[in-house]
Amino acid sequence: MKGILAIYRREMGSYFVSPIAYVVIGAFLVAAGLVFWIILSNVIQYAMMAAARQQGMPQDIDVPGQIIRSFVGFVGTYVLPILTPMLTMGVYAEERKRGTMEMLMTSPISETQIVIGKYLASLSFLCVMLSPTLIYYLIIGMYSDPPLPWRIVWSGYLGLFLLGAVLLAVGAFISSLTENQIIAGVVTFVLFLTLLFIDLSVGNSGTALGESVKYLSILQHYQEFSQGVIDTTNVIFYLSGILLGLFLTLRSLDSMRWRRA
Amino acid sequence: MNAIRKEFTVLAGFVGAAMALSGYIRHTIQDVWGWFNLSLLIVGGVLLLASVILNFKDIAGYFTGRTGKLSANMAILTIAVLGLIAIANYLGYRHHKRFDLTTEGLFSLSDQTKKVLKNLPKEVKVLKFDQQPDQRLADEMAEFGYVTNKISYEYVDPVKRPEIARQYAVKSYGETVVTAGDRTERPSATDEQAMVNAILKVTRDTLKTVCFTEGHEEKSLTEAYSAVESKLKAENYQTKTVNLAQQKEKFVPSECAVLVVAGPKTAFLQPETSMIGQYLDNGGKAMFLIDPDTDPQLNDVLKKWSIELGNDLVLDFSAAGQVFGPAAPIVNNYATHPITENFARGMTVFPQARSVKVLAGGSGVNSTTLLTGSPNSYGETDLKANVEPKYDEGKDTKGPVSVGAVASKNLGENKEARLVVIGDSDFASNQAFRVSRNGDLFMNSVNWLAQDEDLISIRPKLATNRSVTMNAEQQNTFWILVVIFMPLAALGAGAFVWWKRR
Repeated sequence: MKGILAIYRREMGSYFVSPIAYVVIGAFLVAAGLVFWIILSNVIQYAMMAAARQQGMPQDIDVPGQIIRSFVGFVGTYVLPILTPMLTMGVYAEERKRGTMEMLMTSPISETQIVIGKYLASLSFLCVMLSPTLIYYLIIGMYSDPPLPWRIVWSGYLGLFLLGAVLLAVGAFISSLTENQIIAGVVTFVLFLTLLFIDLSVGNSGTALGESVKYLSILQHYQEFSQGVIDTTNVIFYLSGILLGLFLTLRSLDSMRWRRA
Repeated sequence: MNAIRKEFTVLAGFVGAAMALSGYIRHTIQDVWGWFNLSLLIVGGVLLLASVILNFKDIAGYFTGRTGKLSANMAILTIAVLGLIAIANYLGYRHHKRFDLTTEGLFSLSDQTKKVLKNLPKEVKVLKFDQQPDQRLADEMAEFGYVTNKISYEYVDPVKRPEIARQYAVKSYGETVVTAGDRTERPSATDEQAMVNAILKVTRDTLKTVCFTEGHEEKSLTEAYSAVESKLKAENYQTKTVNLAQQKEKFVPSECAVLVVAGPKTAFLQPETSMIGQYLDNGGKAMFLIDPDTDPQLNDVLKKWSIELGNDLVLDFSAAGQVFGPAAPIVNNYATHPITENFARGMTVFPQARSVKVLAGGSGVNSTTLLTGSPNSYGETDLKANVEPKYDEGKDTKGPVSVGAVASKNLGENKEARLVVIGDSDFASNQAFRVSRNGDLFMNSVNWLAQDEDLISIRPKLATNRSVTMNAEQQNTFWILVVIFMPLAALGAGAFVWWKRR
């Protein structure tokens, strides 16, 4: 535990002592704010037009629900797959390049502690980055009638968190394979794109293999969260993704040790 | 430089393996070797081979020596972990639990649906024929599939797989086919209720029988009503003609789920009318299609249901009435009723119809006007050929006249008697059946009449109508806050940290 904490502190320090983290978060907030605002004004306008078109009998539209779904969907589909490779590409590659990896490996801290400590730090960064966007809902909640469906917000953000957690775990593994940050970043990004859109290449075939390949699509499991449905299948899928990523990272560090010996 | 080159060759090996594998998987899924899949396989294979050759020394060294042993250990461990994860996911996929956090339960099936699905007696296949996959239906069927594994869903592009479209006699895009054994059902809607009812219909043990009375010069199922006959067959009903006068037991046969009296020209005999009356009193379901200028002697039966046939001919000399002639009134004003639920402004046409009136004050009977003609229509009572037809106040039936009514009576214990009365039988005959919504009117009536306890009605779940009311100014304030202020705060925190460290 102590070892994990030490690594965690070291990593958080490297994130937040340098101004880079703040620039990344600031840039993310500009993009997220803009997208949220565009979605907000579009959905409000759509609801108004729909009400005007069917006088007397307006169609039921859940405006805040739509906004949550669109925003969480956008962040998960476009923002996280681009941002998380940037976060993870240096995690191990940079240490290897600078030679600080040896230092870590020879320290009394075990590999498991290193992997978990670094992972928890990157998760914390993700949370710090995402949590300010919750303020958006506080604001539109003031104008929402009946009140904002907060449970859908929580389930959407749980999905976002799990998706990000898988991407971070897999990204860390890829970073541990190479000394080159850029290679790690690009390979991670390409892999994420493949994992995100793998279901499109399969289409709707209905065969068992097709279904299994579709099952691997990260996005498939993500959509239901943003609709307010928490399915144990999806949670298990994401938890396995995290476990697999961490396990492979651990094996990769392990092999680093005995390969050198 | 050498190190980077080595990394690239190793990377090429992995990329090549991935490409070749995805090409192969795509092939097995799509069942064709398109140029794309083939080139994926070939390019991937070449990359992999090149990588193996270039790194042959390393690979050979890998499998011999101490590292080889350790690698083997690692490989076994990795495969074991992968296997465990795969098993966990498979189990999670097969047995899962869902938590629907929407306040309306938008993504939960109703208890009735779950009960029906759990007790499905046989395998049901649902197919959607369209140019685009229907994600909503796919989701819904996935939801059904969580309850039972007897339902399978498939999307079929009729252009790509015409043989399947032909097998199920698909005629147009967007058709949904529900099939079990040799029965098929084509629900027009795909909401939960429609799908469950279609599934119930194809899996039901016995087909429902629609009986047509005969012996009074009614419309014949083999001639004027052959379109009706084939449509009923297509929707999984049996048809049968019954001659009430020849029934030994003096009852309408109990197998009749619906009794149709289609345009009799001669009168029913006294015993026959009392049989029909009794049938209805005992929870029977009947449809009376009575043409003008005929008197089948059913008025006593109808009176109990607060419905009266007018002795007239509905005429409409307004612009709307000119489409098919004044004696073929057009109806596009419908009561809110399951029969005319999806008609909206769609029209129905009644060549030669008489008015059907709902009388006030029937006890225990729920009677309503179903079909109302245009405001300019009226019921001409003077049917002599040499008289110029015109509306005579006090003599003729004042418009807008109704040409159809429905009635139902709750008899307790899930039993309900139902009656549909329309002042015309020609609207469903072969010439008119396909005109506008005429066929739907007949089929919906039969469906409504034949509906029993196992066909269910589920209230559609709608999203709560939530609004966010923000005027332009409030939206602008929001913009300033989230696009300018919040990012600036983050940058400010960064600047503070940076400044502190200096």
